[in-house]
Amino acid sequence: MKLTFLQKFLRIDWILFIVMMSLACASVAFIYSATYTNEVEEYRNSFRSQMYWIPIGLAGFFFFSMIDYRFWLQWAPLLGGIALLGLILVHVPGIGYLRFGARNWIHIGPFSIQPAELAKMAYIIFLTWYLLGRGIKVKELSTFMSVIALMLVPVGLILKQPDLGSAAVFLPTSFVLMYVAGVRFRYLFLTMLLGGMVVAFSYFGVYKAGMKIPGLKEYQLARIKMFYDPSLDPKGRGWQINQSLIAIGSGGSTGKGYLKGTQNVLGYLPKKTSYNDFIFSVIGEEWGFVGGSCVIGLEGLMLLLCLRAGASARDQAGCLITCGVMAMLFTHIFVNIGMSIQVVPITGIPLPFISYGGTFLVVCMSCIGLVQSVWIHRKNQSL
Amino acid sequence: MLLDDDRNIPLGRLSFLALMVLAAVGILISRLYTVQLAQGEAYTQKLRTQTTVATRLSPARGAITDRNGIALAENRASFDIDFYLDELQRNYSRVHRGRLPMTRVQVKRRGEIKEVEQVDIVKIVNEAIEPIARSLGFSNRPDEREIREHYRTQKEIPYQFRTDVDFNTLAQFSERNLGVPGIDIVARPVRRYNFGAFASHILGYVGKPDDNSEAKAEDDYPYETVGRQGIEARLDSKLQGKPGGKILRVNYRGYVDREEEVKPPTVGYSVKLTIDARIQYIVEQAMRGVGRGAAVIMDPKTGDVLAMCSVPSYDPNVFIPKISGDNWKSLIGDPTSPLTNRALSSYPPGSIYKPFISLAALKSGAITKDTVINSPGVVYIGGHPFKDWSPGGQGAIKLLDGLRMSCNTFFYQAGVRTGIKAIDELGDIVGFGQSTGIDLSPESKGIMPGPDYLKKVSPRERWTEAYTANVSIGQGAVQVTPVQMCILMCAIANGGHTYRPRLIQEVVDLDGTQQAEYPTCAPRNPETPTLGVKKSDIEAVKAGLLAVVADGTGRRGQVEGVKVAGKTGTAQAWRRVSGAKVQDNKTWFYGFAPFDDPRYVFLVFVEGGTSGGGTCAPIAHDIMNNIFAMEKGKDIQLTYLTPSSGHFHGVVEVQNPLNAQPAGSTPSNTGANAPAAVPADTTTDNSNDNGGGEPSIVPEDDAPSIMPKRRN
Repeated sequence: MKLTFLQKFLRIDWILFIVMMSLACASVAFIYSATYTNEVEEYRNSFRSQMYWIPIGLAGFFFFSMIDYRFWLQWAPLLGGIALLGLILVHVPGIGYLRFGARNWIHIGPFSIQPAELAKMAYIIFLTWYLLGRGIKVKELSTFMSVIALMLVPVGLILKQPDLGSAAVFLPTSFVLMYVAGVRFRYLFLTMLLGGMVVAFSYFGVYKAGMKIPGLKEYQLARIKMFYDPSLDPKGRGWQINQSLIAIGSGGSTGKGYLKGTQNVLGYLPKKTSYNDFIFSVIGEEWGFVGGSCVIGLEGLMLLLCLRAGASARDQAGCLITCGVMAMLFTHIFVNIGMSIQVVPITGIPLPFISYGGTFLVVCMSCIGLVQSVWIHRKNQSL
Repeated sequence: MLLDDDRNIPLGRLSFLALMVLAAVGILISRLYTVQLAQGEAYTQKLRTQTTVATRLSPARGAITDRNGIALAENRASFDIDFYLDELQRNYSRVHRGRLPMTRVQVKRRGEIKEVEQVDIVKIVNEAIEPIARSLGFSNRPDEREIREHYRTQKEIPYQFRTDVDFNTLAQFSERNLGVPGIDIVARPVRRYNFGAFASHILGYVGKPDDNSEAKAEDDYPYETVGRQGIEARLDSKLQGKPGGKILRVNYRGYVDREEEVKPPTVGYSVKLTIDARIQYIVEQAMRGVGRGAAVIMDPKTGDVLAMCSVPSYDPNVFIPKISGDNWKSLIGDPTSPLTNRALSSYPPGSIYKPFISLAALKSGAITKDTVINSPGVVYIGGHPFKDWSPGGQGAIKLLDGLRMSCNTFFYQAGVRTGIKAIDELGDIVGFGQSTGIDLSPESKGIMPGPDYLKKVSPRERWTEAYTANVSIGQGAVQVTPVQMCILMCAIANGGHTYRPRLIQEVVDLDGTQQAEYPTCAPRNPETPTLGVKKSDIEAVKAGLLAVVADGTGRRGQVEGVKVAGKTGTAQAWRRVSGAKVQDNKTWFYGFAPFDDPRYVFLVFVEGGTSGGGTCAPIAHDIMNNIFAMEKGKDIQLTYLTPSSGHFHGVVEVQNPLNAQPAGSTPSNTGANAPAAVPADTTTDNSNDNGGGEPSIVPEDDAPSIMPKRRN
């Protein structure tokens, strides 16, 4: 039974849509607040370009909502290839462009896009296709190993830009997809245990006991220690996290009011990152605990709505896609907000729907579009 | 592929993921709670610390005015280049990614010298001013030691790199102040003494506080200037304004974003002196040439000090904002000690003590005004011969002639008859050997000798009548200050009231509200407010003093049209010049006028003069003449005075301006009249109102011929 366009439109998960749109619209106000005192016009205009990107993102959203997600699975290898090409092109001089010391832009006609963001979406589709293709062998170690190997291709290319934050997203996305696809839990668990041990060592060994790791230089060790105690170097390396904590902490329960964030206005929050990676610091300072919790709550609700779509998916493919999207967004949200309030180390990674950034906004909205497609084409097709 | 197969939807694993999401949301929100609500205060405090800078706004000192409101000490603006060391350091660390230059400094702590690692503030400062200094051609760098000390003790208060920058430099500097946060031009109020070396010993001066200054302002930092001498020091707490403050909001680069809070500084209370600037000016001019001396004018009816002058003087403006080393050395090294206030220093009085002995003798009943005492050229007391200044003596005379001719043998006998006990009892009332209570320090107490005093200085000797005889003519150990003698003369003039010399009329705030009271006619000692001498006895002494000026030793002190009473005095004294004794007489003339209704008590004291009548009386004449002319409407224009310089040239003898015969007591006219004559009129008014008689200058016997300048 085929759904008409209207039927599909009416079946959209409107709650998810509203959550997404309210975050996206609020982002314009947040970005304005973060940049309105900036000396550079380009920064001051960023809220405008964010406004222009929203309709483009919406177009992507509806485009991916209306098309049955299974269509993309047929073309998964091609999508993966295109994304890979983009990641390679970024490193080609003349096509890839340098910005803030990282080579992560390519220009296609009037657009400049970040292939790494597109790759995240393509990777979800590609990995879903791959895991489904494994059939009953999906549980085995070979699946786990091959996925890790597959993952290293884009991760390596992105790390070379360098963009640690974006590269880091691929790991949890892969793990969640494998987990949902049915890879034996012990492989995933053991890997995570290993990771946990590394973290524990860095805390108790390096930070508390002052142990040294062969091969790591002094400044790298200092960076680890600094994460646990930014006050070790408040003027130098601890500057960002310190200023972010001061901004958010001084916001108190209800904040200082819109456009009144001292830390941001006076430039203590670095102006280059306060509108993207550290946008949550601006929110926390101006809107306080109430505003900050709302943003976290809405982002969390969006993730749960993705999971709901996955749970009611018609097939495993839909479930995997939604979980992949969920995992990708989850990583962004947790790491971005977490670094602002010293839960995770600082990595340059945007907050979905809130941070400034056209490509990422369009990718995120398109991803939600994918989730909507799963929801629209769910099992119960009777209206 | 297993499409369309809902058995493959792993609901369990999805639920686990949902739990993970909820847990993550929980972690983030609980952490947000900790940061914003539990530790919010601490972060707010951190924000305040890093975004605000508190600076001090200097208060202005109150003015010092004369009794008519003429400002003698005021404030003017000094443009200073300030370093905010704290801000310079923060800026440096910002520019250099948090790194600060360190240096090892030796610090003395509890007697031990330790090496301490410290921020190398000098390097930071030098780096900051390098571009500016080069373009302005500032050759000398800031004093390293001073900066380090300032940095260590009062980082929050700006360090004044340059004070009183001239306009050119100022303009260039503001043009090229390449936006270095922490270097600023500040207009600061500094002291200005409007008439230069005018009443400098009364006003005193201000200076920077010592390192371990006792005086701290309200904000717990030392004042930038404190009173060092004179009224400036005595009334420092009243003259000081309260410092204000500014809280500035700074951005991450240290630039001032805006002023957050301003508390303006206040102006201190102004002090109104009893001094009449015009009279002070007359006195200052009259005393200019004498080299070393003092003059005091008081109002006998109230005890108000109308003028007080000490020469040599100094210009207190050289202390503002900071005295140069050379200036200080020349002031301190000057053997005539220009910083000393001679009006409050003690000297042997000589014959001007005689009116006091007269009062004591009359009070005790030892003599009456009609007692006749035979006064030959020499009397023997306790076996010692005591000579009169004139070989033949004055014969059988009464008190009036004793005073008029300043007869020593008369007073030896009168004093011995009175006895040291009665003399010292009256001396206690007048306040000899005690502080006068004037609002000025340091003040010498002087010496009033007696048995008790002798026991203290040489316990083996016993007091004899010979000592009393010496005291009776103001010789021996007797030491008085000019102001003490003025108290006595005031008491004689006003019928016996010993008033405390009053220098301050009132202290008022900016609105004119009185902040401290200084009553007139306050007795020096409330227990003995008067001399306790009968009216008729005081009249007898007054009559004697009138005779002194009318046809006695003080004839040169006469003023045309005004009856003047007074007493001369010449105390023989010596001063050591490279081992040799050189005569350095202390000469005096003091008295009151007009005789029938005394309004002025005057005292002129000159060190190295020939005699009271020859040296001091003409100066007193000059002063009183001008004061009465002023009363009649003569305009006294106040001008900026250069310091009157000190010298040891000695005598300044001036002929009686009224062409009276020189007093016999003075060894005058030993040489021919000096050829040069300088007009005695010391005011800016050049009209000669001295009645045609021009004072001539007579050199001392064995001193080289000199032309002391009466005017500059």
